[in-house]
Amino acid sequence: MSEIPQPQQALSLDTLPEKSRAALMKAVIDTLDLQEEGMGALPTLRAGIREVAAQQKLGEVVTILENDTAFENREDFESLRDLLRQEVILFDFERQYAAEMTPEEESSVMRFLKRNKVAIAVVLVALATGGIVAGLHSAGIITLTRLPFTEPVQAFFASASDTVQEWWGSLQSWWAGGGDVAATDAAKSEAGQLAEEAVSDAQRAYDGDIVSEAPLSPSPSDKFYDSSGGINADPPAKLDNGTDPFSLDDGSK
Amino acid sequence: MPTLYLTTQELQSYEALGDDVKVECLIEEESCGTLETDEELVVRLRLVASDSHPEVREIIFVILEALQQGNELDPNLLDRIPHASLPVVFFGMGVRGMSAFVELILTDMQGAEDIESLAALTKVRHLLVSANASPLVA
Repeated sequence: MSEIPQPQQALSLDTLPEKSRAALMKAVIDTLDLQEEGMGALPTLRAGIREVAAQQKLGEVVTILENDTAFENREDFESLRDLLRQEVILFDFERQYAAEMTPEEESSVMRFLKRNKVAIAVVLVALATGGIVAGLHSAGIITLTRLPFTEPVQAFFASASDTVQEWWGSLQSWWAGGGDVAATDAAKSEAGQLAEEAVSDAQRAYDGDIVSEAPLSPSPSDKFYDSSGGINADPPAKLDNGTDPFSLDDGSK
Repeated sequence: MPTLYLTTQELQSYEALGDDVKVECLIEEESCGTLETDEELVVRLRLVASDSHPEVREIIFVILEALQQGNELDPNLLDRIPHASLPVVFFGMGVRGMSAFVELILTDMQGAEDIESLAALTKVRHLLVSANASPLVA
């Protein structure tokens, strides 16, 4: 089984290391020929990336970045390149979506998603997983027993296509927070055990035997930081300057 | 007439549906292109949860807080996703995640109205497949 990548420090245009940010701004300015106005001609760096995409000049920006000695290592350049690719794909998708999707079609999609229990759970869990991989919360907070509609969710994915099963498996590994293949397998195995427990609990509840469990205690620290651990809980996310984003001192999200 | 973009496997599931839920529609083969790798999906999910999309980020915080408190997730949270942010959410799901929705609705077709939903879902996925192969990407 190929190793599922484990989320590293979250990278977005808003959290770029200073050197990467400066290199990117310079590359955008040079590519868009904004020498005189500089980035002041664009509201944000992200707007600059979108303009680069609209002019189909991402390749030029990437070439400039690749030759920029500001990057300390190849990994930093590749991380930025991968981020830019996804920003451009999102730009193109949003553009096509706005041009092609009608309000009726969009309503039709949401009508189903809101009606189907499994769909609701999948959307919410996918978003929560996004928050975990972005470093908004440590891993281990999601367990299969805490999912809404656990039983139908598990039943659906058990019979889904390989593509869909692999996608769900990846989400599970990220919210469990394993650090390597062995830990990922352990997390999945433990998640599988929890799934079995959930199904057993559901059956016992149906039979009238279950005793309700006390809700889990909130963390004694910042409400967004789970210090009590959990399934393979990771250390808290830290910003590039080493500060803890969940520290009570800065109070930022 | 709605158009369904279906993979071979999905087409088999669709054809097995009863005539009471099927309507006249065009069917196009969906190849799904090159699927997002896990590495790409991580980058996407981070992007979705970043400050670039504050409305979605806010909902993510609400979900995480509920989980932190040990509370059940509120199904009505979907109502809080602004329409303008839906493409961002679908982008984060990726073609693979959108395929989960397509397979899901094929197991839950309750009437002809669901064919419209199926068509719309497959259209969203088809647009995402197209974006994944965008010529704008170096």
